Amino acid sequence: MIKGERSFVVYVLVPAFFFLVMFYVYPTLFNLVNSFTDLSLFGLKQGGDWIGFANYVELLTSSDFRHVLWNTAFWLTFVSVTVRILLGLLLALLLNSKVLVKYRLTSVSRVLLLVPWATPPIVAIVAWRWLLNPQLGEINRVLLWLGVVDQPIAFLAEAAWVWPALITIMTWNTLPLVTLAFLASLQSLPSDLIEAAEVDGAGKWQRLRYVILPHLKPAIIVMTLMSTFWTFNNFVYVWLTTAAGPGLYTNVMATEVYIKAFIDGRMGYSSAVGIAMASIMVLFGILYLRLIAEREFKEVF
Amino acid sequence: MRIHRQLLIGAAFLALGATGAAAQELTFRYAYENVDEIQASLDAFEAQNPGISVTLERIAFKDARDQFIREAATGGGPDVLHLAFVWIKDLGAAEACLQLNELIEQHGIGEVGFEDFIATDLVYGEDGESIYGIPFATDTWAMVYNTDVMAEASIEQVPQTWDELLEASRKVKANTDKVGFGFAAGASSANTIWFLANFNWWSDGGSLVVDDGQGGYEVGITPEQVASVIEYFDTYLKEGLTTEGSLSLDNWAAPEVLEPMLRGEQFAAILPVFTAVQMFDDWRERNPGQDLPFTTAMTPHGSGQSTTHLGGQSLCVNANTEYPEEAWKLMQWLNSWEFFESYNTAYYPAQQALLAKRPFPEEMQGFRDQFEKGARSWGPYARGPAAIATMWNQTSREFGAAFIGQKTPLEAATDLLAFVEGQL
Repeated sequence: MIKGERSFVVYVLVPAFFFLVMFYVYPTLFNLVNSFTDLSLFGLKQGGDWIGFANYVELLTSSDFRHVLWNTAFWLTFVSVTVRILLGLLLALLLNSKVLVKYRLTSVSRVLLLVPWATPPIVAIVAWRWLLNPQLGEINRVLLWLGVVDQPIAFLAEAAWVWPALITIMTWNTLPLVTLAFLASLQSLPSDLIEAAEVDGAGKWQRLRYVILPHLKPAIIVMTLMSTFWTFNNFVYVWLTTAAGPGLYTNVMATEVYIKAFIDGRMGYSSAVGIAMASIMVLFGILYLRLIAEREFKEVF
Repeated sequence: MRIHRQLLIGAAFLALGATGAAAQELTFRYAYENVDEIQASLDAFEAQNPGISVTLERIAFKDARDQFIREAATGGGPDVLHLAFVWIKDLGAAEACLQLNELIEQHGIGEVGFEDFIATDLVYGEDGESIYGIPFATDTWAMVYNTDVMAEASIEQVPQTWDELLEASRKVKANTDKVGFGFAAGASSANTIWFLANFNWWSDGGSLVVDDGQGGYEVGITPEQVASVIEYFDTYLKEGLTTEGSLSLDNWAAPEVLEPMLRGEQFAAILPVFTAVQMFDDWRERNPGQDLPFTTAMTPHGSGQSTTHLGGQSLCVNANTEYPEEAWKLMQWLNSWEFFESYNTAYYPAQQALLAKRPFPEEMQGFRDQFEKGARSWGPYARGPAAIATMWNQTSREFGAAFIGQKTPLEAATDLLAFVEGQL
């Protein structure tokens, strides 16, 4: 890049940096300062007193926080992202298959795929809460009718069911984006590659293993990382579906920030949880930069 | 030209005059469901006060405090707010609610005056002198029983003790396969467990918060007592004697609790006054001309007497309001007999003089008894440094953790008391 172009790029980026500083860097620093105070929700106007690392010590030694961290890392992020990626992959392969073309179902299935994505999360959650309701829900009605269960299941109240139920709701609502990304990548796969593999005697599994999946690898990496970002931070699904319950069984970091700040009124401690959460996201960010953005950056410059 | 200029000046004065005479615009944020009645009352208020217009805003009750506190901290929020009794002290400390002493002195409030309001101890600030809210409507909780289910299950009289309630629920399940005692055991902010736990502790002589006799506060109950109450309510869940999916319900008035009562599929529920009134009205609407199949009674007791809380709703004026005088006129209207007689008919005013004007109907006998013989103030809970809402949520969470087996009842009880001690 020549010198003039470099200056132009810098000028163009200035407004973006301004907004980034105003609406991201400044609030983050403000939050960081708050995390060293005992600021209370009821004392926002008066401000909090400086208490050093007390909030962080409490956070790191709290068994409740370890439970929250586990819920966030394992259930909310690892399990739900894995399910989404695997199902997305399967659905994309199905949508790209010749079977749907044969029965002229390609357009219909692609339109149907978009329905969950077009549904706002709040609408999806309310609908699913009704579906999963033990007294009035259709899912229980069907299970009882089929004789699969003899008593309705309280999906959102029983420890054994609540995480699978939550992950189902999240997956239903967010799967289409992942599927479409994989489908777009599949459609960019040159057909002569598949044909050449067929000529070489590769079976279905071998074509998938040695041709299709390597082609999809960049899309899988991008979608896995992006899904991880969206999911780890997510507040809406857990809060609106279970309010972090039963008890605090489904409490995750985002809901913990809310509970500590606005229910317990401990803004200082809540800020510390927020900073811990942001620190973990920074690690994901570094990973993302290493795997994706660095390559793109090099390509541009 | 001169005529044109005069016309222009005249038009400008008219415009200025019109601006000067424009109505002062107030916003009233209301947190309950009877919005149509409240809107009608605000229309009547506007007709009586031509210089004031009021916009009604609606919010979910469980969000009302947090939303306001965030707005107030940044200089915003509606002018007049509908809140819970127990939030006022904290909102006063947060400088979110306006100090009302001067307005009360200058203009008065209620039919007889501020002294006639009930539970005024909850609207004073930490200094014990500043008044930050006005009690608006009062309520307490009592038991509602479906008499058809009672007859079907061969239960001849309503349970008097907690143990009798459990036994009666078992009998209902055994004899009718219907729900015994339905309640919401979810862990979020509007559930029933906080109330059930406290009513149980109080009726056994315990209390989560008590005065320590030295001007401070302490926990007045042992972990074992708390654990036994957790186990008691867990029995309903484990034996299927309560609402299906009770742990996912976070509202005492959840349809899952009220509908089975209305349909004759549930024996008992514990409800605040206004929810009971609404439920009875719903039943009458669905079954015109028929006798109401419900009876009400005081809540069960343990070794002591039946005890519930004297609770209710308050009104507060936002400390950021530009129109305190107009907001006060609205406060006066919302505490008038005309308002309760003609508009807010499902609720009982938090004034002795107005309560005397509104007798309890026959089916509300249990509530009347509860008010007269078994309702106590939150007292040390409200006066102490721990916010009631915070203890409420922690109690719900610890009970929830025990209900799903995440903690043993004793662990949950110990954690709860440690938390409350830390707050005190």
